[in-house]
Amino acid sequence: MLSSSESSGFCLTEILDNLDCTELLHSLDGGVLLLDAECRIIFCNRWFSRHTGFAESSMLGQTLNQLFPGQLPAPLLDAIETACYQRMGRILSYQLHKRLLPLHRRTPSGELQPLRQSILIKPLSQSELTLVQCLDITNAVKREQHLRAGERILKLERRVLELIATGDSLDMALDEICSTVEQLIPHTATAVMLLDETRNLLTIKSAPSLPASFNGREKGLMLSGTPTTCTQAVQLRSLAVTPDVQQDDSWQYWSDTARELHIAACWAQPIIAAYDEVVGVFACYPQTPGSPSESDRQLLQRMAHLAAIALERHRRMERIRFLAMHDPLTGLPNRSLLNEHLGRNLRRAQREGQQFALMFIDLDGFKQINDQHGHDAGDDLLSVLAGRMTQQLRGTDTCARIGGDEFVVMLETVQNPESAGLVATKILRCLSTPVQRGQQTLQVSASIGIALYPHDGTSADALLTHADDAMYQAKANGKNCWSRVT
Amino acid sequence: MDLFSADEHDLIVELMNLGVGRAAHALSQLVSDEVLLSVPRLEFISVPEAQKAFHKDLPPFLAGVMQSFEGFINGRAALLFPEARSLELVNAMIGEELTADEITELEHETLAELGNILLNHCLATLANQLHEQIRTDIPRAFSISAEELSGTLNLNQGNPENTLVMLVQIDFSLRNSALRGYLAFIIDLHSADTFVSALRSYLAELL
Repeated sequence: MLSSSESSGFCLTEILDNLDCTELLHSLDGGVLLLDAECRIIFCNRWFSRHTGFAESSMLGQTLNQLFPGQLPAPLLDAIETACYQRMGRILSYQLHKRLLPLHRRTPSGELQPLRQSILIKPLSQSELTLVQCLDITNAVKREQHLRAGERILKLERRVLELIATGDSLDMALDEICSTVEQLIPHTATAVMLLDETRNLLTIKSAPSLPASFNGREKGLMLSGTPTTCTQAVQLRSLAVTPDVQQDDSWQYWSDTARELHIAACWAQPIIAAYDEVVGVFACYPQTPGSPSESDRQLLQRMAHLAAIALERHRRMERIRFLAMHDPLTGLPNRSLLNEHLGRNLRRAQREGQQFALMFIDLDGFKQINDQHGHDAGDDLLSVLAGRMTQQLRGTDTCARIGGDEFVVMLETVQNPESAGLVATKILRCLSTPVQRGQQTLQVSASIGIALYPHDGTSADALLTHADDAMYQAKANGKNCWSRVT
Repeated sequence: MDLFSADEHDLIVELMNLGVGRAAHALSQLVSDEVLLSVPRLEFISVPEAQKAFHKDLPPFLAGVMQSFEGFINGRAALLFPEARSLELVNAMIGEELTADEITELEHETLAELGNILLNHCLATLANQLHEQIRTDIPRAFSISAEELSGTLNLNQGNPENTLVMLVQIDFSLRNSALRGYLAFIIDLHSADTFVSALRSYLAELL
């Protein structure tokens, strides 16, 4: 008796012996040709006639070169000859030969498109024949293209995210976002525009591939003015598209600039940050008229999201930096920021040979306010007085709160000791003016000690100590006055 | 293995260099960029020695292309690369900067063609110069672990004593990529006699 493997082996041999090889080749989903030693076709399967449009009979006896005169690339002809004459097997891969046989296939929608293919050429052993196999790899190519495109976007996005996460340079992150889009949508310039605090003015923050002359343009993009593509994006909170700027009235004023910079269209995607707040616009300026494709739209959305993340993070960093350097009650600089300004001013004054003044200010009678009216009243009073003091100073001067009721004022430059005294007098007056708080009238005064650089000290510590001593002298002199120890 | 005299060995090295040079020329034309190939080392070894050499010199994962050949010599030829670098090579060939994590079917085909061109030129040059005939099959690309190599190359098919391995180091340089690979020719020793006599008559003609 035969074992099962022997019997199945026997059956297979029998099946193969009775198999119609021609029918088998015809039923294959791919092109099969048999060539003789002179490169002439002696067999072609149905797939081949279907995809070339030639009847089988008209192909037999012809070489491929005769079938497609002048249409075949040299590497294909060379490979066929090498195989037929020299018996060398060859593969022609799609990636290295984008054009092989001029074959087409129908898409599901019925359109004819070039058939992406790779070709195998196998000299058969024990005969002079050569087998040519044509594989339809259109779908594989499509998959690969998708894969590569997706990978490319991911890679670029990762770069942007890394920049946002590691550095705190907002400009670098926004520039990177712009150049990412410029790489993925070729022949397009891009810009990030931000809304100012009045929420009425759009200004360019980043436009790495546009000239400075263009950046000036957006100085005048008022939301309240004539609508433009970008202002529309802000107002509509969605993508605004101007497919052809030369045909659009809102671009009339800018049509020469647009022509000069090869700007043909404008696509503007709003940048929407936390709490649904529109903070700016991501603008694309393609060199040819048209509207964004679906994938372009998705890309713009993703990049606008990244820009929103970058802006949000930047804003938080700024906020954290502000909180670390300012007194939360009065908003005045704290001791850290005072030290920073003082250090900088010392170096500047030394370099330029100038004088500057430091005032140590201590309120008189502030403890009683707290005791009589409560801490809320004390806090309100401090806020009002802080505002009044700031009003007496130039923008370059510094007024810092360094303790409960202690302030330090730095006058960035003074011509002489008398001018410091004049400012001190003004501050005394504004501090001793009563503050109305509902029904309450709150009033304090102050004692001020003045120290002058370089006369009273040349270091931050020396100057602060000197001013402190002078303040105590002012207290001893009866308060509500200034003093300088010379 | 001292199957070949020093002169014969030198002749083989020279013919391999000629073949590799022609392959470099063909590849350069194909990718419209300069492809440089060189052969720093060539040796004939036995199957056990080859297995040892593969173990020692090759990385744990390999990408390669194999082709059978028959004619004045019979056997199989393979081009072998560290798998991690093979994609870099394919990308350099097609001028892509991006690297995917995995080699796709299209890239396998491209690698197959690269190996095809290289192996065909080496074998054709060897045969043509020695006035002999050779036929090659279509190439097959593979990604395997080093342990699977012997099986893939059919190293133990038949009697190992009747098999000779010609191991050729090959250095690639293309665009900004440079990498080293191996060419392994597994030659059936029954055909080695014709190989030796072809070499001898070629050398005799020179004298």
